[in-house]
Amino acid sequence: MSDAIDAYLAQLRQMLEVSPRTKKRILWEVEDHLSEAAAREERRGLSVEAAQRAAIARFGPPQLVAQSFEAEAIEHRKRLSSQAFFLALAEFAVLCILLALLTLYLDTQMQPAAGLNEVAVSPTVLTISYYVALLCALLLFLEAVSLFLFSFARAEGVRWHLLSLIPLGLGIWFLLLAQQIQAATQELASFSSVHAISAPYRWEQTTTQLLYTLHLLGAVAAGFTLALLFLAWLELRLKSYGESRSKADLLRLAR
Amino acid sequence: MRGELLKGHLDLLLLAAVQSGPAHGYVIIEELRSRSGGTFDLPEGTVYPALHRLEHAGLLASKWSGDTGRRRRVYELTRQGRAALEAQEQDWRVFSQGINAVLQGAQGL
Repeated sequence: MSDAIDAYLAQLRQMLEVSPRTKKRILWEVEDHLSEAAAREERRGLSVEAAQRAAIARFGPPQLVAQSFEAEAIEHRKRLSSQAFFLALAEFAVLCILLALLTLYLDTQMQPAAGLNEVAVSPTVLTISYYVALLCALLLFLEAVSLFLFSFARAEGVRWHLLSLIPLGLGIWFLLLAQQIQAATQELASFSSVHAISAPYRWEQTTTQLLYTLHLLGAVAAGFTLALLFLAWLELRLKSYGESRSKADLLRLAR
Repeated sequence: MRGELLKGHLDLLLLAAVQSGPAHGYVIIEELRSRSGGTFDLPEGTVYPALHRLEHAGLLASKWSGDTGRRRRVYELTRQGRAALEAQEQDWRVFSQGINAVLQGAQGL
């Protein structure tokens, strides 16, 4: 390779403020382009040096090229971060709806038991609760990934990355909950087989209170998230409506 | 041709330039220049960010290719890109016909 192209690439390398992977790809593409353009100029009769200078002149000053790439990289990051944000929001909405539905269902299924501080639940309720807890854990892990992608795309430092620890922790809590429910189901099954009767499982009253709280929180959070999603959707619709309006106006003018 | 005038239509031109098949940056730029009879002679370095943007938008796909003995990034239209090209082409035809009609009318006055 040649001195002029080498020098141009070195300048561009210094000016480009993009990820190392993107930088490598850009430099490779630019080098390929300049070599091919210079070879073509040489075939037209220019000296090696003049051919390289001509190729570089056609390519444009490195500042301009670096700025164009940076502008595109920023736009790309913005798009990614908004997609990740909507994904995180949607996962949160599904989670809240799931929790609200589960607690509503449990409300109808729980019967007062003999003990004052206990309520009885059937094995079916336990099985459903187990799968819902697993699903919640999965959703929360996805939420953690989405939030990490969001903070990564925004590139605003480590403290935003920490945000994804919240759903990660909650996800682990739900996994543990699922494990507890499974243990309760097994306990109930062995009780039924020993006594040859099908007995409901007794949950403590505090569990019920916890479920009521979850119910309320889930419903409020679901409502809030859905309102946010609706507003975001409305904004996007209005924006695209504005764009299509201006396009339609142009087309009408053209006709 | 003035850069800012061309800028708004660069996406359409680039999509049209890769319509015939996979091509690398240099060939795409040459295609633009030769098809336009030298009218679209823009700073070549600004075409690559536009190609990257179209790829991020899902209208182009690219991969490394070593067919010619040299490792190259080759671009081609995606299905979404083909649909966008058709739609933009249609819009442009209506628009340019209108402009031409107005200009011809002005000449006739």
